[in-house]
Amino acid sequence: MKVPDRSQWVLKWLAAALLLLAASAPATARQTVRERVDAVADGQVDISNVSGSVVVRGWDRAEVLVTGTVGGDVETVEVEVRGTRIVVSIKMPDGKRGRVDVNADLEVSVPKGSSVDVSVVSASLEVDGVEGALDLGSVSGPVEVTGTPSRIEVDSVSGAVRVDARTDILRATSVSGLLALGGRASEVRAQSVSGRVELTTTGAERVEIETVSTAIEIDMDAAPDASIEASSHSGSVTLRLAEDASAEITASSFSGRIANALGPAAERPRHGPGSHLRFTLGEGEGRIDLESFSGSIRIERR
Amino acid sequence: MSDQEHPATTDLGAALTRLPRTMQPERDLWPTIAQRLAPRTVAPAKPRYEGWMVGLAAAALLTIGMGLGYLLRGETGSMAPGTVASGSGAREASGAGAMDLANASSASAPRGAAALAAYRAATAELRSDLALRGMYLPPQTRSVVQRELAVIEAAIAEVERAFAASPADPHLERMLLTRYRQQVDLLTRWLPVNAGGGEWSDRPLDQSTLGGEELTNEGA
Repeated sequence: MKVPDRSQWVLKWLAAALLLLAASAPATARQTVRERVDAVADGQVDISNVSGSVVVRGWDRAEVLVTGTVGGDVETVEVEVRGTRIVVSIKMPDGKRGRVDVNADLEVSVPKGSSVDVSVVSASLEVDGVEGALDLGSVSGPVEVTGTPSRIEVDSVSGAVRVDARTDILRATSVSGLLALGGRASEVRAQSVSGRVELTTTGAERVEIETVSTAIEIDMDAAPDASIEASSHSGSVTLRLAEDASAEITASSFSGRIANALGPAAERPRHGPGSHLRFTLGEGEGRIDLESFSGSIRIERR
Repeated sequence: MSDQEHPATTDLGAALTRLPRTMQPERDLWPTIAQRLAPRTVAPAKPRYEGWMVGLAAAALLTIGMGLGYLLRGETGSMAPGTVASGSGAREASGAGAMDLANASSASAPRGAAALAAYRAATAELRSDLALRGMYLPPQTRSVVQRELAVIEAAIAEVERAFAASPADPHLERMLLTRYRQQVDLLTRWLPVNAGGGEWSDRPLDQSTLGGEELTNEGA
C-alpha cells in the first residue's frame, strides 16, 4: 500500500530525531571520575566492574588513583579504605529497578607492590606493572596481563586470556575462552573446557594443562628437568621441542592418533584399544606426559 | 631407550606406563574443592531467593564437597585428577616417595570406584539445582556454561562407555575421574550457591535486568 508523501516525511523526521537522541544520550550521560587515596606499598586492592574497561597500572607512588568515566545508570565510583585493603567499586542508585546499564571505563593506578583482585563481567581488563599477586576474574571480557607479578591466577568463562608476564606461578582457567600464556613462569597450570590453550611460557619447572574438547599447543623452552603434563579429551595435543631438548616422553591415547617426529612410532597393545609411546630425548632430564582420549597427539621439532 | 628396541616387553611396558606410579595423592583435593564451593566474587549481583532455598542448596553442596573431600583425601596417584600421570606433582605433593607398582595397582581399584561413585553422586546433585544457581549468571553466560557442561557430559559418556568395556584400565579410570572433576569444577566455580563476597554482592541488582550487558564468546 502506498503511504502518502506527508506521512513519509513525518516518519523520516521522527526516525532522524530518534537517531540523534540515541547518539547523543550516552555522550551526555558519562561522568568523569577521579578519586585518590593513600595506600601502603604492599597492600591489597580489590576492583570490580561490569562492562566497559578496567586498566590497572602499578606505579611507584604510595597511593591509589582511580580515573575514568562512568555512564548509563552508574552514579559514581567508590574508593573505600579498609585498613590496608582498598576497594574500588561501582556505585549504583539505591532502589534502581528494571533494566540497568552498568558501564564504566576505569584506569586504576596502584602501588606496584600491591596485590590486586579484579572481577569484571564483560569489561575488558588489562593489568601491567604490578609486582604483587594478581587474582583476576572475568565472565566474557578479555584479559591481558603484562609485567612482573609474583603470582597470577586468572579465571574466565568466555573471555580470552593473554598473559605475557614474568611470574612465579601462573594459573589460568577458562570455560570457552582462549588461554594464550607466554612470558616466563616457574609453574604453569591451565585448564579449559573448550578454550584453546597456547603455551609459550619459558623457564617453567612444572606445567599441567587440561582441556576437554579443544587443542593444546605447547611451544616452550622449559627448565631442563621440567615436568610437563598435558591432557585433552578430544582436543589435539601438540608439543614442539627444541633441538637440544632432554626429556623422557610418554604419550598415550585411547583412540586418537599419535604422531612422533622425534623418535619411535607409537605402539598399540596386542589386547585392547589405545596407542602408547615412550622414548627419551637427550639425557632424559625432564619428564613429559601427553594424554588424550580421542584427540590426536603430535610431537614435533620446533 | 625406546620400547621398540625391546619388542618382547612392549605390552608390559605399555601396561606399566598406564599404571599409577605412586600410592599417595598428587595433591590434597579437599582444599581445592572447598575453595571452589566457597563464594566467588565474579558475578556482580544477587537474585532474590528465599533464604531457606539458598541455605538448603549451600548445605547440599557443602555436604557433597565434604563427602568428596573425605573420599578423595587418601586416594592413590591414579585418583588424583588433574594430572596425566604421576610426575613431579606426586613427588612434591606427597613427599612420601613412590610405592612399588604392584601395590599401587592392587590398591587403586576399590578407591577408584569409591571416588567415581562420589563424583557421580556429586555431579548429579549439583546438576539438580543448576537452574537455581545458574540465576547468578547473566543469561548469555549461563548458556555458555550450559553448553560447555554438555561438552563435558558428552566426554564423560564416551569415557564411561570405554571404561565399562575395560573396567580394569587405570588410564581410562584416570580420564574419567578427570572429566568428573572438571564437571564439578564448572558446576561449583561458575554456578556458585552464593555469588557474594565482593562489593557487587551487596547491591540490590537483579542480574536478569542487566540489559546493557553484551556477553559474547571471546574464545578461540
